[in-house]
Formats: sequence, structure tokens, C-alpha cells
Amino acid sequence: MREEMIKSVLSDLNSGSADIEASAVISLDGLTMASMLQANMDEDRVGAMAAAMLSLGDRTAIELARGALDQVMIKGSNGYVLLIHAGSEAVLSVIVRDKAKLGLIFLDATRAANAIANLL
Amino acid sequence: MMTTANDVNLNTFLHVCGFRLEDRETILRIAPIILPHLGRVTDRFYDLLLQDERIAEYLEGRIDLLKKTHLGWLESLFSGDYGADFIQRQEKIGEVHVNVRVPPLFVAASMSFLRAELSSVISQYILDREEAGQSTRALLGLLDLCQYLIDRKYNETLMNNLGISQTLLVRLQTTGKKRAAS
Repeated sequence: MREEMIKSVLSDLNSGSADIEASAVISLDGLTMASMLQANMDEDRVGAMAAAMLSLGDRTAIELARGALDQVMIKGSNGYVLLIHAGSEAVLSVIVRDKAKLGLIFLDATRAANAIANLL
Repeated sequence: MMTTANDVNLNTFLHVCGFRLEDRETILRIAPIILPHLGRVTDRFYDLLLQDERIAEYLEGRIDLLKKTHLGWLESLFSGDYGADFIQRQEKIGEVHVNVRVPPLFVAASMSFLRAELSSVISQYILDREEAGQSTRALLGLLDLCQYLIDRKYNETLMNNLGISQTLLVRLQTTGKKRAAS
């Protein structure tokens, strides 16, 4: 039931912008709790990588006195990966195309992360 | 002996490494023969370490304290206590090594030295071939066990410091394997 509700949030997020290719909610241990991924994406890999990056982001923010981590953004030649805390126990991972307008996507992703945090 | 009921990895290690209850008896039996030589072994060990520029940097100004700690640890291996306290003591070493930035290389090199040196002490002072063989096997198994416990805790502490839990670490390792296999 809860997974379906989270999936519904992810579905709304993905359909809100053509530039969002996929999204997933992952536990801090890297377990994928719910996902809307493309067929060629490995759920386990997305989960493990997102959780590891968020952990390092958390640590970096602390070590460099940047306060509580808000989000991590990775930019590659094919696009972006956004990682946002969804409450204290999960991370929202959003995979975005390279030409995307990030402002709106950040806004939508933050809203989705808050909605997911309320469901967990 | 060891309380390893909930420690699957340690059980696997012990099964393969083969350090058993009878090895404890062997080590207690040879302790009076080996203990008098441990001070000399420790001195030789630190002399060797000081010859390496990189390692010498870590030792500067604390050599006497480190020798004392090392000798204390070495002697404790012959006490016959291989229970929860023993495990905790080895794990503490791994934890401290992360905090004082002693890389695993030093533990591997140290254990290698001790394996050779203690085997040599045994062959020199335990003349019965069967007893010497049994003693060498027991002692090498014990050193392997110490290295496993120290390295495991080192790794765990390092990952915890990075915010990466053991579960996540296993997931990352599994992900890598899948990619290599595909």
C-alpha cells in the first residue's frame, strides 16, 4: 500500500517534466523502496550508488561546515542525477536529461521528497 | 573459546583458518618457552620499521610507548583468552588505526614479520618436530585471526566514518560483481 502511494508520487514527478527519465526512493542502506525506472536501468545499482553518494554528501557537508545536507547533484555528459533527502531514512533519486531546465525540476523534486517523507 | 554465534563471517573464517580449542591448549603449553623471546622480537620488529622512511614518520617520538603496547599485545596472545574480550581487543586496534591513520599495509607487514619471526623462535626452541609443527600451525592461525579481526574493524570504522553502513557496502560490492559478470 505504502509502496503504491510512493510510486504514485514518483509517477506524478516523472510525468511533470519530459526531462525526468526516472526516479526512485531508496533507503539509506541502498535498498530501493519504490521506483519508476526505465527498463534498462538496474534497480540495485541505482539504489547502491544513490545511497553511497548521499552518505558521502552528508559527510562532506558536515566536514566542510555546510550544515545539514539538502541535495547532491551529479552532472555527466548525458545528464544529471539529483539526490534529495526524503525524511531522515530515505533518499529521492531523480535521473534527468542533459538539456533539462533544472530550476523547475529541483522544485518538483523537493516537493516530491517532502511528500514521500510524509508517507514514510 | 569464542562466542561467535551471531558472527557468520567470523564463523566462516574460523572454519577455514582452523584455529580450534586444541590450538589454545598448544599455545598455553608453549607460552613459557616463547614469552621470554617476545621482547627481542619486538625490538627487532621496531628496528626494521625504523629503517623504512615512510613508517619511521609514524613512529617518531613514540617508539618506547609503541614498543610497550606491541609487546603487551603480543604477550596477551599467549594468555589463552580467545573469547569476547580477545575479539574486542583486536577490534579496538583496527578502530584506533583508523583514528591515528595507520593504514592496513602496516598490519599486513607486521603480521608477515611476526609469522616468520615466531616460526623461527619455535623451530629454535621447540625441538620435538611434531610439537613444533603443531605450535607453528596454532600460532600462525592465531595471527591470521588477529589480522582478520583488526582489518575487518578497520574497514568497518572507515566506512562508518564515511556514513556507509555494512549493508550498503555489501550492496555496492554486489553491484560491482553483477557488472563484472554481465
